[in-house]
Amino acid sequence: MKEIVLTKNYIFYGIAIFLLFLLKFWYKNTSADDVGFLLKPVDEFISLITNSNSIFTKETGYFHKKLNIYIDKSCSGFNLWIIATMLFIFQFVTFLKKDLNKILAIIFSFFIGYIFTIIVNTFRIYTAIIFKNISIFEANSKFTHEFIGAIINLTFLILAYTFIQKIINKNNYEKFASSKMEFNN
Amino acid sequence: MKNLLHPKWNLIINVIPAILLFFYGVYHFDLIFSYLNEKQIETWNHFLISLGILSGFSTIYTLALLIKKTKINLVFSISQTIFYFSFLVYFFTNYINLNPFSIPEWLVSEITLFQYFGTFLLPSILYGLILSVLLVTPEKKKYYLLSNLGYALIFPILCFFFVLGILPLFKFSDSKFRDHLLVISIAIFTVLFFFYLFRFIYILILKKGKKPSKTWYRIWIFIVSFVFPIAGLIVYQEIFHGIAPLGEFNNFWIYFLTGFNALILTVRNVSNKNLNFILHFLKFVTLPFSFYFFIVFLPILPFSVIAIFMIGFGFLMLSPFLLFIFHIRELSVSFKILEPYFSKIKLIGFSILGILIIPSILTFSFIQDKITIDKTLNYIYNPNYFAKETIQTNRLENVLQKIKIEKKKNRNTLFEASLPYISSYYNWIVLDNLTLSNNKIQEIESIFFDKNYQKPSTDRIQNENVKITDIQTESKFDETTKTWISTIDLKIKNFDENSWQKEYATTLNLPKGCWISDYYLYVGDIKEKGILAEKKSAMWIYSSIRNERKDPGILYYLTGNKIAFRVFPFTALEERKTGIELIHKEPITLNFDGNQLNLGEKKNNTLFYEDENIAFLTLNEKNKLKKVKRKPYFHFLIDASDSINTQNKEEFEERINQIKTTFPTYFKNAKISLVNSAINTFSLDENWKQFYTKNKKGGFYLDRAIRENLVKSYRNSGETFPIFITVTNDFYDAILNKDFTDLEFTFPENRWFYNLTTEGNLESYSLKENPTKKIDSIPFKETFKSVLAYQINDKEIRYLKNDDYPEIILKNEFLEIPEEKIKEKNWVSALYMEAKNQSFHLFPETLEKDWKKSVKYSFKSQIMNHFTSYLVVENESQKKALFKKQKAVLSGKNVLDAGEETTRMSEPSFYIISAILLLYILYTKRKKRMRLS
Repeated sequence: MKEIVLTKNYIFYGIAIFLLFLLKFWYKNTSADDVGFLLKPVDEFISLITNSNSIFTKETGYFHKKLNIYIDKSCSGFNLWIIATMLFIFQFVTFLKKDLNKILAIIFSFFIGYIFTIIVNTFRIYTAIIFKNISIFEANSKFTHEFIGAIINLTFLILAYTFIQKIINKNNYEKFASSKMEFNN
Repeated sequence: MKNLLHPKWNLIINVIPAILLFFYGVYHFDLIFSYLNEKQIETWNHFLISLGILSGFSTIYTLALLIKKTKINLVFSISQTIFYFSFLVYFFTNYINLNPFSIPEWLVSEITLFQYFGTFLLPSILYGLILSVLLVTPEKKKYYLLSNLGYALIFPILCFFFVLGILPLFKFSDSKFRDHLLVISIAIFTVLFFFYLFRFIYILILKKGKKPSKTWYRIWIFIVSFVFPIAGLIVYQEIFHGIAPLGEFNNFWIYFLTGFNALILTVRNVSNKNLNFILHFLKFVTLPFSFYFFIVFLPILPFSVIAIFMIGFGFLMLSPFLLFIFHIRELSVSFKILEPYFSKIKLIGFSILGILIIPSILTFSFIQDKITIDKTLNYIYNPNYFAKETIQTNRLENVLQKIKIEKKKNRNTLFEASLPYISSYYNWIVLDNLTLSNNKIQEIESIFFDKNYQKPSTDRIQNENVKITDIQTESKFDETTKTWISTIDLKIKNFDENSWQKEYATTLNLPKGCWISDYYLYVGDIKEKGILAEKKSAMWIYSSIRNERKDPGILYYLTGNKIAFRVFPFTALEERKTGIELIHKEPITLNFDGNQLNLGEKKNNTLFYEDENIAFLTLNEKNKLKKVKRKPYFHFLIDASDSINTQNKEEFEERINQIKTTFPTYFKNAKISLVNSAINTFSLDENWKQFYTKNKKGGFYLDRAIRENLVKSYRNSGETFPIFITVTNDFYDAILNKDFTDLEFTFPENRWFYNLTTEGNLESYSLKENPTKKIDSIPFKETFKSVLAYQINDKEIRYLKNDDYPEIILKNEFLEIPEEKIKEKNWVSALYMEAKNQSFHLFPETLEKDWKKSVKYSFKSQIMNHFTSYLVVENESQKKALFKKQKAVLSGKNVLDAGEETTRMSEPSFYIISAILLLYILYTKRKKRMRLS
């Protein structure tokens, strides 16, 4: 039997996945009001960039009359936040050695995941607004919208992943090089 | 095989399904809670606690093994088998308490507890057994193949003797103890039987002990893949003829695939690697077939021992299981043979492709069915009167056939579908998990296949002895909104001393500009407030509850402003209290089941409302409008259904010519429509006869012909208006089930249409109510009332009925309700919703896109409209079922957001993004590893 080496990291991964499920479950029963911490900043940015004002209602979220769009619960970027946070947690937990650091990394990941989500989600919605006004995409607007959203979210996630991976590798290489030097000395 | 001892497999096969099952159990318990008695609640509690402990313990133990990096041991595998099996026995013996008859069928009809538990728990037990076999059968030793088969077969026989021979010898004072002993002994024999059966298979496929020769192995495969399944199918068909407890498998494709699968599996690998590759690919093509039967038969696997000695053919129940194991074995062998010649990616790629072939063909065919049925339903219920639609009638016939088979499904079966899982998949794809009512199926068949049309049966109103005993009204005037809010409180009594199940049902005609904004019903001593729900779901739940003889009450729109008001049930001499709230601007007189109610009084406020989209005109404003006399013309609607022959055709022409001499003035601009499943309209002067014989298809779809031409004449509003005259052999065969009250604003001059008889007489029928009933007292008259012209702009004029009632005018026919107009209990909101309903009748093709918005607006304004209904249900379970159904109905059809003018900036799917990201990470890791190595 091929042995799978099981490290303590699995516990942290388990905790992260458990939190993910918990959050997903919570999200199911929320309204636009509850995910305001994600929606509000994005709406502010969109208002700023497009010079449009929005009206907030619990049922429909933020409605921009000028742009004729809703930014509601389904646009909150909650899923992106979860994915990004998980991505960061897994990378940091694998890299860090001390348990305390791992725990701090989990908390930290939620925070940088949040910042990441606000930026990417604003970018995604802004791009979607631009494409919405291009007539050739009108016939398949829903597909176009989803497609653009997927491309943007994925691009940023992959970029974030590669960036963190590069830092980790560099760090590892430096550690490895310094330990080798110590060994040689 | 030994890989199975790694705890990760326990996590996948045992722990995760058990946890899922636990959550499902909690959900199911919550759903049916209100219907359970104390004993049943206790059973459910025991059941869920045991399942929780079992799954919890299993989870902890598996995690511990994972952390300690150890394999699963014998004690765990045996105890797992015993505990889970005992749990399963507990489930079956207490099934009647877990799923009692008191639970209404409609509440749980989409879920079968049995199916879920069988499918989720059985893999755990089988896995435990397989592990035990692996652990007690070390590879180094030699084993006798046939002795294991012998042991396997001896246990059913022992079971038979024990149950029928030994057990009856003892006398038990407590019959419960005997039953218990019986169940436990059967369970033990079953476990032993499977243990030796698996051991036999294990030795056989690993060719341990006495190796069977290759030819013998092929023969075994042939028996397992062909002889057993075919014999099983035939025996199943014979024994369960007409009952089909597991599903209907009497299908050509099932026999064909069985044969094909057997052929693929039995043929041995040859020396040509390309041929082997094709064979390998084909084995993957048929894998979903083997897997399907494996899954379907899984829940009944434990019963095969009983079946073996009861029916004798019971061992055939094992064939799907054996077939699946052999199929997997064959695949792994051919994979190993091909590995040296082909790249892994190619092999895996083709394997996935192979697996997808059968499901893809099924899905493609289902999607075609969906397109056809959607087109048909849109054609009938949401038509675009200005577009031509072609419907593949051959395909439609097939789809209807399939739906009818589904509807006939036997309620006593374990799986409530003709082909378990596949039928659910079909229903999900084709009908969005909803269903087509018998009335609709019949209507489609009569429209497209000219089948005999039976008028839909209307609910019999049975309130001869149920009468209103007291009516109290109260009207309050809201100074800020200048609106009356009137409440009507009713006491209704069943005067019948003997009848226990009486219903009170009545209809009320709401005056224009009056809407329902609340409702209540006393259930026992509790005043239950009405729930505003989507109409279809509400009506479904009302009729379901009524069949269960429980306490619902409902209010909903019929046609036009007619409201149905129903309360159920009334026991002998019972008096019940209920009431409604109305919102209106001017004082109204309402006829409530024979009682004249005066609500509100004259105030110094104007009712007139006008903005850029709509207008509400009262008598005052109407009197100021210009009177116009428009010119009538005849519009003939000629029966062109399948049943019409050339002789009829000539005779119809003769009738038209005959009437021309009597009413020549009406023939100026006269039109003619050839009516069957499609409506083709020509000017009477055109050469329409040449199209007559060509165009015969389906039945005489008069409803559509009138509706379409009413809308067309309204939208081309000119100085003329049509008088419809039907020409047919049998007027009662016409497909006509609803009146045209909803379109009343399109026929302001004349509310009648006529049938031209063989004798050349014109029989009158009403467009407003009961259009199939001949009205002898109203003969065709040549003078028509003038109408009122409301000028919208230089080009557009709306013609209004010249009467004393207020009128809603759509200034903008294609009305979109501005979101800000919808406010809670607001008269203008209600007016807008009513106007939107008129707009829907002019553009039924927009219904599909916009009806959910109307539901939403109704919820928001708390005012009932044509898409919602006020409803009171008895308990929490019913409420949950209502919301579940509502959710299904509201998500039905796929155009939820697509094409909506206001775009929702929704983020992309969580699963798609996660999956792609994961694939990317795995790919980069793999690349990195390869680079390093």
